[in-house]
Amino acid sequence: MKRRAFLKTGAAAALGTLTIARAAHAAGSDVLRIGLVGCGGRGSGAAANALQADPNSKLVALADAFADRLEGSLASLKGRFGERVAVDPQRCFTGFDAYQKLLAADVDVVILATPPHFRPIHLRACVEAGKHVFCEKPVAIDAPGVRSVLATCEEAAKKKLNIVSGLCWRYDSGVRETMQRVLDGAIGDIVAIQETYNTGTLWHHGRKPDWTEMEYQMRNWYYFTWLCGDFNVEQHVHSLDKAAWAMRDEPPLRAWGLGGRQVRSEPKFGEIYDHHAVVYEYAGGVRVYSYCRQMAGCSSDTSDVFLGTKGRADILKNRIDGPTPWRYAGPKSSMYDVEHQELFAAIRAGKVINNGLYMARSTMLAILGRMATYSGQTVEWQAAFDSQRALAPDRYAMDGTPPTLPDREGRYPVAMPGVTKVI
Amino acid sequence: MRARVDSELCISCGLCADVCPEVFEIGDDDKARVKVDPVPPEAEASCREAAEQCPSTAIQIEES
Repeated sequence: MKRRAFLKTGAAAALGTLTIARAAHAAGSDVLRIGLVGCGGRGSGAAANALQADPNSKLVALADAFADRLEGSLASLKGRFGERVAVDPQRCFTGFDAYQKLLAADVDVVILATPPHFRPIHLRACVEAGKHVFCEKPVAIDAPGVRSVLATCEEAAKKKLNIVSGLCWRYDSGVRETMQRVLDGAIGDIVAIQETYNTGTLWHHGRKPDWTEMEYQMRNWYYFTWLCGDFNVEQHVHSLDKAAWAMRDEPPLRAWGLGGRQVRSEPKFGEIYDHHAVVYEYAGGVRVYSYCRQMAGCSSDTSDVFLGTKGRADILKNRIDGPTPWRYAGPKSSMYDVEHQELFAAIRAGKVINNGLYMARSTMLAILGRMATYSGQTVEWQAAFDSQRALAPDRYAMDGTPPTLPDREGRYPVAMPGVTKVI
Repeated sequence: MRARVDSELCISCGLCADVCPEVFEIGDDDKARVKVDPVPPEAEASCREAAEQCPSTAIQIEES
């Protein structure tokens, strides 16, 4: 049987676990064919990481909502990797259904890097098609999406498919060792965690007269909750994921918080907030204090401070202070490369990495925080997780209707604490 | 075009060096730094991409 047949999950699953492991070993030196869904900066970067990670891989197919984004990504990657970017025009797909066409284009590994709204849909399609996946963070923007991802990842486990998460700090050597020491008791029992992700402002791509409202929102996806999840989900999930890791990926009981948009008030910035401060309450009394801000001209800080009964850890600085101070002094490597090195090594060795549980729970942790700041209420984890409220357009088309629309002055409705319902 | 990295903001994630290795590298202090000034014309697009992607908004671009 040809290697490609083994890599197709349906056949492999039918043959059983032992067979797929042998098949993957037998396929160890064959070319692995990569497809990229979402050709923005992170997607293009992830494709580069994949090509760097596995010298016998090729990028063979691209998919994006927009042709100009796809062409820019293709030109850039072609310039860096030459013939290893073997994407002919027949394997360039655009539009909302581009991912389906890419999955039918004979790929082995798929990189999912579109705006996070689409992740649950795309991930499910990948696993149904029997593909290994690199799945950028966050993996959903609402609770139904999180539940979908969890179910999909269970299916992936049954099919022995790799699901590697883009929550990249879990692949950083210094953070890994620091965290392991914390989990092994280096600071005693964790009492509190302070997560901070305070930065400046981000890009905006403007509006062109010929764009539909859907195209405008898609091109400026960061500013729309249904596409991005808000920035405490899209970006701050990195911080919350480290807190979740330290809490052994057990969810909190509840969360409450404060948030709003004080500076980011122009209509062009859609509906997301510019600051969130959330307290997560865990069983046993542990609290995670979570802060994120995107404002120009303010102090910036990105850090994770863990306070324990016997000391403190500063995770990003790779240091532990207390009775036994410690600093990481081991080798450094790009965590973005390591994610892909471990993914491709697993595929070639017939092993399986499945980051599904933590990538879904950390995403839900961030969504819970948004629910708390948008509503102004104390929100229980279970109620948030069970929420049926889905943020989605009437249909996926450039002339479709997004779930939020501007008023006559171009202003979008913004969540109002004390008024907005989130469950 | 010129690029600048604010080392106080840099969180040493290395993303800029991944996205635009022509302009950014990771120094001995684990912080990103600019290795070529001005930015070569052929690297301007990826340099803008790196600034846009920087998770801590530590990269400033000065268009000439």
